[in-house]
Amino acid sequence: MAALDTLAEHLGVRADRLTAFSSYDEGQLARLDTLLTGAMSAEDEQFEAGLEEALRFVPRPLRPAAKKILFGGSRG
Amino acid sequence: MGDLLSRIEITKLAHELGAPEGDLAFLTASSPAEIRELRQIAQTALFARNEDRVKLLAALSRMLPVSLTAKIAEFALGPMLSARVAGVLDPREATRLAGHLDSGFLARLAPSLDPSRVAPIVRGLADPLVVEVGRMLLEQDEHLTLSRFVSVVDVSVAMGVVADATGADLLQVAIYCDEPAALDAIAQRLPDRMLADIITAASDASLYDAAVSLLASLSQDVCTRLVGQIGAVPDEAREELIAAVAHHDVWPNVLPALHSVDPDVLKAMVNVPITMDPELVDRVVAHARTLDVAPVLVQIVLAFDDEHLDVLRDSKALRSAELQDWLVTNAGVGTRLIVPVLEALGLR
Repeated sequence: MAALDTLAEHLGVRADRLTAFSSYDEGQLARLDTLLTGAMSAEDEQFEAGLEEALRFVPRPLRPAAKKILFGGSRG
Repeated sequence: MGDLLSRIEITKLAHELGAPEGDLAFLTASSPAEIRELRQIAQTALFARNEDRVKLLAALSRMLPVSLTAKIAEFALGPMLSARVAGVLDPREATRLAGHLDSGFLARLAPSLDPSRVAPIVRGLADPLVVEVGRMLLEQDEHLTLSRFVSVVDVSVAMGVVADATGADLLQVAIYCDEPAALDAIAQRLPDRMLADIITAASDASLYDAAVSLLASLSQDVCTRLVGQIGAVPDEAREELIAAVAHHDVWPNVLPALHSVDPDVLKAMVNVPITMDPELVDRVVAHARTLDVAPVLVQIVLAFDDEHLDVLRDSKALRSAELQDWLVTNAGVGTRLIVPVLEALGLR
């Protein structure tokens, strides 16, 4: 059952943790997966924007150190 | 009750995913426990996904003055991210930070908090602040959010939050609450007037299953007080409530409560069409026997009108010699009163 495996992968669990949902059809499981990945993407976007925005509030002298904390060595 | 409980779990899962409940309606085919587990798995996955970033933001907050961190939380991160960060902060740091945040922002942040992670923080906050935020959540109909914190806050704080709540508000919070013991502690402190409001709200909204689910989850003391308020609802609603009690077979919760119900209310409760069923009578009798509440059974029989008494003739359970012996021995009244009643009913 491809949709159940995909859902389990996105949830970070083995498919056998979701056997209770194996009676649902592929379409229903795909819809559930879409809602889950949608929630994950929305959170990812909020984090991306939030980290950038947080930096703008940090006083200029502290900004290099803050940048290092938030983004490591990946930004100059 | 499974359908109702599944729908409640779907609402919680939808809240977790930020999705419309209707998109998850197909999950009603699953049991409440299955949906609950799915929600917990999804919650863990969502929290784990950005855990590194959450820790980085928490580290940043430690190098900045608390007032600036509060400003960043409110104006840069927003409620959801701030709620995530709160979950990894030291409770003392977080409590100090909360003191610098606007109460309106805390109310927007609360729906994204995981109560199990932030319980020490919430307990460290000043009671008036928690009450203020709780009342804001009540005004915003955030019943689900409030229900998640019932077991986290002190009962006196919870009472402050619900002091002016409507019966409908209280019913909604109770429906979503996963912690019956914590809910019961609050319900014990509610005046009868508010318990009557809850029953009335359930009947106004035809939420009979919800009312019955609530009865089944509360302690016997509170259940008794709640059942005692059934006289406050109109006849039709009372019939529906008794029908829901019968449908979900929660007589074991309700029967002991009938002992202290006003006689007129008891008459109104038991003389409804659904109780004119010998099989239902047999179920009630069996529960009464199991619970060993013979006096309650006698009270019910004495409260029946003639039409309902006629139905008792067809009860197999009441014809049982063993049952009659138990009734005579435990009814709490003289044998000379019980035996003639059984004979008059054609049961002996």
